[in-house]
Amino acid sequence: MIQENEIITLILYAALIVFYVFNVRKLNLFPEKKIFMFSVLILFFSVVFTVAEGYFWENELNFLEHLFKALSALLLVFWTLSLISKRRKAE
Amino acid sequence: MIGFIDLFSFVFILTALLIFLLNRKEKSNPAFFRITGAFFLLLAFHYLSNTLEWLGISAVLDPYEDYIELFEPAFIFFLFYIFLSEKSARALQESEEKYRLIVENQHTLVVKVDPEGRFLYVSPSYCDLFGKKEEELLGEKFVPLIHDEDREPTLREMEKLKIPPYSCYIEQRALTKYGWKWLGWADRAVLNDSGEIKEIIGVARDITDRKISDMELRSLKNQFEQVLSLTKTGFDLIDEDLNMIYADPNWVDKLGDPSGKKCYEYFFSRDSACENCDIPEVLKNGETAVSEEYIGSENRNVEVHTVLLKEKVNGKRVVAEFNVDITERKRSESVMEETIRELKKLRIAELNLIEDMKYEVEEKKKAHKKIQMLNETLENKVKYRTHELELSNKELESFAYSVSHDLRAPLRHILGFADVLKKLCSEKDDEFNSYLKKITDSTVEMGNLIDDLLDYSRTGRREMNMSLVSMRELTGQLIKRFTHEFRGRNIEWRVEQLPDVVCDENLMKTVWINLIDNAIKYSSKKDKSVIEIRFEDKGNEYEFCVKDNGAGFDMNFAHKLFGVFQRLHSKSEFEGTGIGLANVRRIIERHGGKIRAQGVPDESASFFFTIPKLDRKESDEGIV
Repeated sequence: MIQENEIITLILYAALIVFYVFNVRKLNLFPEKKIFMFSVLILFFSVVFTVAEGYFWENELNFLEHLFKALSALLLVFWTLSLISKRRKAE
Repeated sequence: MIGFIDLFSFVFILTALLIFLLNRKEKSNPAFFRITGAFFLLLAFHYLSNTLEWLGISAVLDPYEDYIELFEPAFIFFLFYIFLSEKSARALQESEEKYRLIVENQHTLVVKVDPEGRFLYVSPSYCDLFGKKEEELLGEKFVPLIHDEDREPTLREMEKLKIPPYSCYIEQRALTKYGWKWLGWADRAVLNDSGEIKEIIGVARDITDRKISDMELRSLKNQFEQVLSLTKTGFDLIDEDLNMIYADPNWVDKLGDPSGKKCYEYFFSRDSACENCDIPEVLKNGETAVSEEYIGSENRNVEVHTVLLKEKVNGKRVVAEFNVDITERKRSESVMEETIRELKKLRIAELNLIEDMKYEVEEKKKAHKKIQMLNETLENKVKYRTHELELSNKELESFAYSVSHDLRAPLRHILGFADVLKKLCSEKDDEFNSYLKKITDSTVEMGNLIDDLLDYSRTGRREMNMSLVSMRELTGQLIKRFTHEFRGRNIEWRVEQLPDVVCDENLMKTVWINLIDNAIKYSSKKDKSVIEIRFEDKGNEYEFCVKDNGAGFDMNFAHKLFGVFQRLHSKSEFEGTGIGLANVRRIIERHGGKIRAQGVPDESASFFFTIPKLDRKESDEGIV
């Protein structure tokens, strides 16, 4: 079953990705942007899987959705640690 | 399985949130920090909801989960936005800081004033230079003290702000808190839509150092030109395209302004470069070239030194030309060459002279040798003659001895036989006795004559024994002797104090005896004989005089007085042989003196003789 909020979330993430692509130069100095954007991208895919599970492979895609969310969370841990270590180095 | 994954997700995000919160020292960007924290919290809430659902606990958070999920991308958007806005703000701040850094630390003065002269903006450097605060100046009028000499030019220049291009440049001296400073103002008027001056922007720099440098440079230039003028050295600068860059004031006075002219146009009024121009060669090799030129119009010779300068002017290489006046040097060289030619001639003449002198010296040497030879010959002749003379003297002595001996022997026989005849004859035969007496007297006289002749002969030959003789003592002894001898006569002696002289005492004694004896003899017919003996110092010699008041003599026969057997009176009047004065003359002449006589018949006779003043040394050397 497809929920409306999931569709909206997907649209929002897609818009976010487009925004990033268009402002990639300006966001060049975003701290540890590769880790962060990788995490966001995985989160986006998890949302994609959420929407897709309403149409096919419900269990598999649901699993992937949660797995990707976990991966995304793990990357955010790394991002945080990376930020801190970089700041300490700078200090 | 999914439940575990959600649990891990929750744990991960919770860990991230905790790490983030524990290290929230990030103060440079607090908004970014807050948004990130909120995003983590949102994710944590989402994964907690999933975990609780997996644990079968009633879905307390389920009703909110769907909305929360919607906020996740929104927060990421927000995070990006915050980052970008922060970045812009920071860039703006950095830009402002840079601008402030530039404005506050630059030395350039920047002001903006309205048409009435009120300050709209004033840079810190301006405030610092004039010792004012920004708030004191803004909205107020302030005109610093301008040097008297610069006021009029300043006002004149500022009039240009009213006409296009509405800008001007002013160099003026202003009194600052550091004293008088040169400021170079570049002013520009800003116009409003109706074309009126809205405001004036002025930018100035402190050009005091440049002005001082300019003045020093001008002073150096003046000194340099003065030195060039004094040394009569021309100076000019020419670029590689033969354009005149500079000419010294002397050239400018003579040829005018060189700017915009080629060197050949300026100096020689030519249309093309000179054929013998050194400049291309100097530009090619970089070595200094020296050439000589004659300036006919000024009758001068100049030596041109062309030097390549290291510095370029307007991107072109430049050569400097020093025109050294060598007219005097040339003249000196000409004079020197002439002098050298003259010297060479003189040298040749000198060599000829030396040759002549050598020839003369050779001739003199030859003559000298001849003289030497002649001298030797003469010496030999003298020796020979001396030897002959000695032989002759010996023969003469021998002859004199023979005469004295051989003539005396017959005289003795005559005297002896006359004496015998006298004894044999009667004493009464007066005539016979008279003859005998005449024979006897003549024989005695003959004997005296022979003795006197022998004395005269010996006087001429005998060796002189010179010594210092007191004439006073010598004459004194003789006067005593004659006084005694002629004690029956009335004789008055007038004798001066005679000096000492160097002479042969015995010969001098003979002189005095003869002269005094003559004086006594020839004054014998006077009742009173007056005999004077005096002398006179004549510098190099003494002149002695013996004068009597006797018979005197006729001066016409004076030359006969000193001849042998010469007599001016008859034997009957005065006795004598006629040899005495001849003997006196010989003695005086042997002493280097002279004798003369002065007489007046029947009145007086004076005999003068001189004796040179000699010292012992001269007398010992036998000069006499």
